[in-house]
Amino acid sequence: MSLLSISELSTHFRLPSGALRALDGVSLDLEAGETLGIVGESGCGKSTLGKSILRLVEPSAGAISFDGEDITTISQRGLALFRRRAQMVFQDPFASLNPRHSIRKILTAPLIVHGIGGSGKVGKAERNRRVEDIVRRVGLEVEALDRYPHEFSGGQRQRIGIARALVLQPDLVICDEPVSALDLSIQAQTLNLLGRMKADLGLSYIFISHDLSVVRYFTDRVMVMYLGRVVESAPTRQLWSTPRHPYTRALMDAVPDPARRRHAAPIRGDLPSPQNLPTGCRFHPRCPLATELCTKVEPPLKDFGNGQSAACHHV
Amino acid sequence: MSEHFILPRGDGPSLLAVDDLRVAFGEKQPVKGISFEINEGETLAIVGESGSGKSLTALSIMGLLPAGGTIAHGSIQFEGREITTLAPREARALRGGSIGMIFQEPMTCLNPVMTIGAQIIEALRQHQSLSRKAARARALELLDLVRIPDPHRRIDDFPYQLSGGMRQRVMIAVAVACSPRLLIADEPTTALDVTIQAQVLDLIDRLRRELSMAVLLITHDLGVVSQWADRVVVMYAGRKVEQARPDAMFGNPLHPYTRGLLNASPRLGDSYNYIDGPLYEIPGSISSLAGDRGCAFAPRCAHVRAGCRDAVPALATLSHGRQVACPVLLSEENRVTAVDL
Repeated sequence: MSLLSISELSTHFRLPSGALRALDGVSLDLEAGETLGIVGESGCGKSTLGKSILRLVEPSAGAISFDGEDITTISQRGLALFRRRAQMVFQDPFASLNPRHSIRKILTAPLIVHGIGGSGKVGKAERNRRVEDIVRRVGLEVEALDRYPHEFSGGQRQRIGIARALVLQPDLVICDEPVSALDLSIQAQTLNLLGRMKADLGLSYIFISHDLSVVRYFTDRVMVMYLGRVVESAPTRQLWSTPRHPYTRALMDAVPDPARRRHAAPIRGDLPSPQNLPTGCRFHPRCPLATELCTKVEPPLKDFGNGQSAACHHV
Repeated sequence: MSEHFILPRGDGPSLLAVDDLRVAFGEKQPVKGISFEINEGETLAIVGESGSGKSLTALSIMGLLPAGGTIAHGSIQFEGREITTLAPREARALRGGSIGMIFQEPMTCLNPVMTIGAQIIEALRQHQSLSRKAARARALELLDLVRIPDPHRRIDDFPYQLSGGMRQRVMIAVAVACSPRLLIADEPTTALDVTIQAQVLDLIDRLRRELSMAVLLITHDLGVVSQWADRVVVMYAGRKVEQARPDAMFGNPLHPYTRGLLNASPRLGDSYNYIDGPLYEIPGSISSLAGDRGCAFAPRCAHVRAGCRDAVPALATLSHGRQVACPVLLSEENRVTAVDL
């Protein structure tokens, strides 16, 4: 049984200017111990997917099952238990830590919310023990606990953000662009930390990123999204050896890479607004392979074997 | 690397010469003496992480240092003329005239209550005596030049009606309105999606050739540098640590910091996966400085020696204009001059 199983999940927002179909019929399975990358550009729905899984935004349709239990119909108490086991690391280490709380308070809050350690002196001691343990694991000193977010660099703050997610000893961590706001030398440190924590604590990750090179390094499997839909899904090595979908290929070609001279002209056109989706295949206005069929019929995901599937009429 | 074809680029006289520039904010000196030249028609990239001083260097050239910042030392010559001592009026004529610039976030640089046409026309009429009608016609040409589809319809749009990529194109149209000799682009694509980034950088490169202007590209992205720069300056903590052509720098980085950065970045063309092992790490962060006396990178450096903390290493100049500020690696690798092609 998969740790997380999502079927036909849709999240639509109603805006004054019309409906926004941020996420439209997305399915995925995540095995325990696996890292699944979600990659795509603005408006592809990758962040909405992460938030919908934790029900930080309410999905409009579809099912999410975690460890065999349906999260979309669960009770409030069940939801609280689920969130203890599924945590999130955010992109911006400056915006996601309360500047007026000490690091100890920031890291203790999730434990109090979830009633860990119990009441009285014993509970407090237990919470302190856990907080001190996690802060050392992420590579900070225990002295850091009595300082405030502004006293730390961006990389250290992201370590604190990771500690906050891990202090509850979750099974699943959703990382939403966890290294995008960090300098290059700090990115490597942070990715290595996430890798160590995964091995030490037996975590599973959903790793949301726009950065293909980071996704290639850090994931076992990748889902490529475009305007709310999955266009391709494959084991990481396979996706890079034989990318099928024209959008996947365009995305890979667009990333400037020191190891490679540019060979392809960038794909034309702008990303359409998710409020005004193209008919048929959502990629057709920018696609070099598009035909009449693509403008009318939305292609289903085709299975290529070896765990790879792509949604294109022409592959 | 003979398969690289080199685009015809100017090797002409230097258009901009920055000499020992130091920028001070009170006691602090975030730019500690940097020198470089930009030749006519070339793209020079300055690459560095936050705190390297790359953006302050660009803002010094524009005369747009934030409040409290001053040029404490050094000179900046543009077309042979010192521009650090210009009167405000002359500086304004230079900005947007002979030197254009674009920034990271087009939404905050464009005026939200003016149509894009009005903003281009304003830039034109500020620097050239054009009638309204002639300026509007020129604005349409510029929108066409930066490949805004359907310029006649778009010219009366407001910025909010455009996508991020289109707004950056409008910013570029404003910046090149007066056919500048130099375009300063400070992280021009950092806020853009990767497929749009490629379009915008290709556009800047095409305009560089068509308008024979030079480009100063400020970026943190090594991939961008590798594809769009003729020469690269690597900055660390306010100083230049290495300067090279991109193929030389990526093929054979000479400064420990440059090497560390290249090793620490996951590469798209590399199947190395977390299962295979961790990424190379540069320990610490740029804030761990060695004080003013020694090499600023010493606390993080894998090759550090006793002498590194005593004096700031001088820039050694090798063949082909290559420079590196690290005597340790140069002495260890006597062969560097031989492979420095």
